[in-house]
Amino acid sequence: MRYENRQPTEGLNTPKRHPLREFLRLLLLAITAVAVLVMVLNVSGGRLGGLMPFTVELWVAEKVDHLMVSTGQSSPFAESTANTPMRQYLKRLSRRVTDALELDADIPITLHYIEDDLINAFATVGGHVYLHRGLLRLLPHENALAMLIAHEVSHVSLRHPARGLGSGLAVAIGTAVLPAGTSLQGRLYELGGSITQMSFSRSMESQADRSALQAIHALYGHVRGAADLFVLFAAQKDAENSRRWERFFSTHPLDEERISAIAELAAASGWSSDGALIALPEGFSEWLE
Amino acid sequence: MIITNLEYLPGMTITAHLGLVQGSSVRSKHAGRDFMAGIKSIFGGELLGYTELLHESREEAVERLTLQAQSIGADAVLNVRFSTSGIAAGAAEIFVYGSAVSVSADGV
Amino acid sequence: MFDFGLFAALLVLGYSCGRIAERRHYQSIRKRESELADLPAIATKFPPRAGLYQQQLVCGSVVIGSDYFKSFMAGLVNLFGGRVRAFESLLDRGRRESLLRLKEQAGTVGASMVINVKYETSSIAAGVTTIEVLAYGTALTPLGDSTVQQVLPD
Repeated sequence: MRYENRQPTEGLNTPKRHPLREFLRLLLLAITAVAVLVMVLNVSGGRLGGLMPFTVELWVAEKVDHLMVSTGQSSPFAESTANTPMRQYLKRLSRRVTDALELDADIPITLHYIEDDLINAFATVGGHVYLHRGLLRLLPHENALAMLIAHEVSHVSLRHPARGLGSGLAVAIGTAVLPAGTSLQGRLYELGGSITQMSFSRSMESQADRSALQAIHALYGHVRGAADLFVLFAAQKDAENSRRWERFFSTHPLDEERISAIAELAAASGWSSDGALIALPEGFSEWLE
Repeated sequence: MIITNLEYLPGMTITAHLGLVQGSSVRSKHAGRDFMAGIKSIFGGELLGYTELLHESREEAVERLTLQAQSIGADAVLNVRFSTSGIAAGAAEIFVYGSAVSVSADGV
Repeated sequence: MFDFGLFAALLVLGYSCGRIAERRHYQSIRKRESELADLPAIATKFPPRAGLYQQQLVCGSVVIGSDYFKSFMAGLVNLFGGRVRAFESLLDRGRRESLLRLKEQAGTVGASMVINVKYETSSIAAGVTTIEVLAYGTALTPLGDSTVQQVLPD
């Protein structure tokens, strides 16, 4: 009997293959798979969210309100009791806009005027629409303000906040159930999620623009000045030089795209873009102080 | 190539011991399988996906063991043992090893 | 969005350091394997028929950790299923290193061979993959010169 110690051929248990190639292949696959998954969850969750009756939306808003107040924060949905001329005016205008939109009677709109210099306006669940003073300061005439309100109210009537809520929930639940193994995979979900979510929102913005323009035509008989808000935005952003990235990451469609989309829609619908612009009420600039 | 977990080969004489040979394989199932296994763990029972995974791994590990044995000119691998270990979440290693030997038929 | 930079840096660091460490380890393993080539280690239980031996249990163990790149790769593979190559080399290194340490211990007691070698593998740390490989067996030390001749007849 002989006893030897022969060495088997190297690498039988560890076949040589460059790890980077496999890495790239898998990474691309993973990102694609996650993006597709998140997109599906987003769309289906959004559909479901859009199907839920407005009363559910009101209920959610109420719950959020309770939660905020019980944790000592100020209620985001409580209407201001201050009865300033600005608030009165905005209320009157929004009533006219909602009438022009032929808004469902079951959908109450609560308009909030926020006195800060943020250039922003948004709509959220429960029919709450927020207008920041900073944005109102930029408006040249009532037509643009009406367009702004009509745009935000259109989000509500098109059930965008509910759809956003639905897709947000679907993505959160869907990715939580999936084996997130390492936190790295969690990060991939995040990455895929943020990209698709943004383009989803962009299509909503275009829808809201379209609906708002129709309301503006119903209200004034023409659509002149409706796009002025975006013209203003475009002029302001020209100063900054972040064009290329903006297109991809912006939640809102690029201002130029919106302006031309509005012009196209007006032309296709035969709406006149000629007519009298209505000035903002006297004292508007003082109310802004 | 004879692969056995006996210490000897009936009817044959071991002429030389050539040292240890081993085969190993690390595999994981895709996320869908992991997910199904997670659901299955509520009810208990056989996890077919994982049974299949470990079976495939074991076959590959034995194949690699055989290749190692061939590379050193062995005729048989004796006293073969399997061991399974969970290396990371969802990935398992099958390891098989044994003693490579040269043999001759009895009576020679 | 998360901090892509940090993530990419960790990947690159893990990849380069991991590869250098692995290459060095393999170089050392091959060198020592050829040095210890005259000390057979086998998996069967029976000692050679002739000769008297002193028996002693010998062990060799090693703990090897994965690097950031390998761990990330394993996570990716886990999504789609398949062979986790990143960890196969880790385990291969562990097996060979532990056997070498076992042989080194056997060498210090003057053994001529190690029989009934067994391996034990365990994943020991939570989070990052860290494996321990233990090799153990019985070292046989021949008693006296005359018996050595009988131990290794051709």
